[in-house]
Amino acid sequence: MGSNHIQYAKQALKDGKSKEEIYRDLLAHGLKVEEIEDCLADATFNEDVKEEAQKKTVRVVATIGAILIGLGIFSFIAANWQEMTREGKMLTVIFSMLCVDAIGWYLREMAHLEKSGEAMLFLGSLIFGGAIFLAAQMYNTRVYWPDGFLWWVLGSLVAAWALEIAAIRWLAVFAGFVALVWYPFGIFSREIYNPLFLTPWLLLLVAAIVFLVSGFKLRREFLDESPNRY
Amino acid sequence: MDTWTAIIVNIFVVVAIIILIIAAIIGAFLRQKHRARRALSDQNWYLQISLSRKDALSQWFLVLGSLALANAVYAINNNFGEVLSWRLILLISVLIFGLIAYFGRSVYCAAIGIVGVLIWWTAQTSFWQTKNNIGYSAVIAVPVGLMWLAILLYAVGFWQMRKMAWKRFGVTYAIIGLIVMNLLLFSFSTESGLRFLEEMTTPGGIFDVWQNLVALLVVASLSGAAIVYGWIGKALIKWEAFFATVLFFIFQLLTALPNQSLLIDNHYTSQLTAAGLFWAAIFNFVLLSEILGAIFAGYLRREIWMINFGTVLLIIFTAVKYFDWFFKFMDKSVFFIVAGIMLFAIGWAMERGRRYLAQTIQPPITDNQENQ
Repeated sequence: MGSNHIQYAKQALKDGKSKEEIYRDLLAHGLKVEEIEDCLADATFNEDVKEEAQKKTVRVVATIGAILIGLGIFSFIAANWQEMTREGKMLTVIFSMLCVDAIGWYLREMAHLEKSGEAMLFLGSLIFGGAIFLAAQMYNTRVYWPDGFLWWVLGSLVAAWALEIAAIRWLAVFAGFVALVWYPFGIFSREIYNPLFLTPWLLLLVAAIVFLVSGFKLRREFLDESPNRY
Repeated sequence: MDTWTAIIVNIFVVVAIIILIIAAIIGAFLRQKHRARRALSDQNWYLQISLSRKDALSQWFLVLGSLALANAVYAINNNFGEVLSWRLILLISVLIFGLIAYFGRSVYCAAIGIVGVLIWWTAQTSFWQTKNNIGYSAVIAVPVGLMWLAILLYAVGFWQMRKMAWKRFGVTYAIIGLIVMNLLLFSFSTESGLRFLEEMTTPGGIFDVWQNLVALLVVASLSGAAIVYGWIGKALIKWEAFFATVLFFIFQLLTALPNQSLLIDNHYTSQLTAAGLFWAAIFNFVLLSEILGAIFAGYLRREIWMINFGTVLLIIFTAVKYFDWFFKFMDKSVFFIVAGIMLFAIGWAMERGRRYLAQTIQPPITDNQENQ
């Protein structure tokens, strides 16, 4: 396989020839099927990268926008903390979350603006996490603080399962990492030692099951794509 | 600066920061894309930390799932009044990581599980020694066991690397084994390491703590079997097997060492005795041989990662030992000039040597290629 074959494949693709036609032509030139596959992969590589870069740019810009909106919502609540009632704060957060999720859903499913929609749904997960800590703080809930991150993990993983958005999966990894690395220190220092207080282990068990089920499901998909390399 | 200038400057800074962040993220995404594409086609795919986003995410999920399960066991145990010791919980956690590593084919879980085993060994053998209220000598089980475990990991790693699909696991085991070997040898080659060794040879003896003795016998059998099996099965090159055997017996000798006086303390300084000098020479020599051996083994095995790994260790070894040995005795200006010239010379020699080795080695033969 030489560079002239790759050039030929590039030109043929530009001319609108189908891959089957290119296969036939290159087979006639004495190339093997694997060589033709490599040839086509090289010919389409730059185009794929360009297209992928454009998609990524949209995704990154939209995601940064979503994060900024999230920051704006929470800074609004913080700025009006004294004036707002508990119900007002909770309603603001819940309403924001529902609105953002609805807009995200509409953009992705109805308007077919996949990247923008996913960025809004990611924002929904961020607001969900913020809402957990806000609620715990407002109602003076007696919990060990990593529990909040675990609840965030559960919500994010359910959302990631339903929506299949990579950014939400990474968010779950981040929240899970913070919670689970910190947990043993809390138990070891007896910060959360209480025989009657059974929530932590139950929550941990649920988080373990959800993480493992999601992990094995994703792993199966990866192993199907790459059966000989793991 | 007036108000408007301050506002403009602030806006400019914020915009510049946002642009930089966006550019960095886009760059990272593009690099990741290139890397992922390369990773799956590259003949050195097994040196990649992740082969694709799906690979990385699924492994992270499995790691966090295992960690959550381990934490749940720990929390349940605490709620029921600490029925099990935290060391046993650690061992259970290691088993969880091991099982999930195997069934999920997850190299991240495997690496964490192995590190867990090493931590468990250190904690458990120290505990047995404390529980039996024996002198410090029984703690010798910690470094000896760790060295034997490191040898075991190295041999198993290369055994596993023979299977193409498990190659990433093999590299991970071998690297962890090499790191542990180097850390142990390096510790014993320093003054504080020798002081530690001296304390461990005070009367009491490893044989007084039967738990440590049994545990060491088990690890020794596994490690010894791995060397023999690795050599017979050609997973280890004969020089590697020979060096692993030498390391095995040097550390075995430490368990039977009589009371040693290695350092004499003056008011502010300490001096090596004849025995101290002997052991310092032994450990430094073995450490240097081990590092050079790793580079040589990399060349024989046609594994560029071993050459790179050995090269980095050699630079660290040279720099640390130079400071350790000559900083007190030489004029500071001479010290730094000599250090600079020496490092430059080492860098030059290494660049040439590494390039020569990298050019002469061919891609490694795998079972897939053998089958063709």
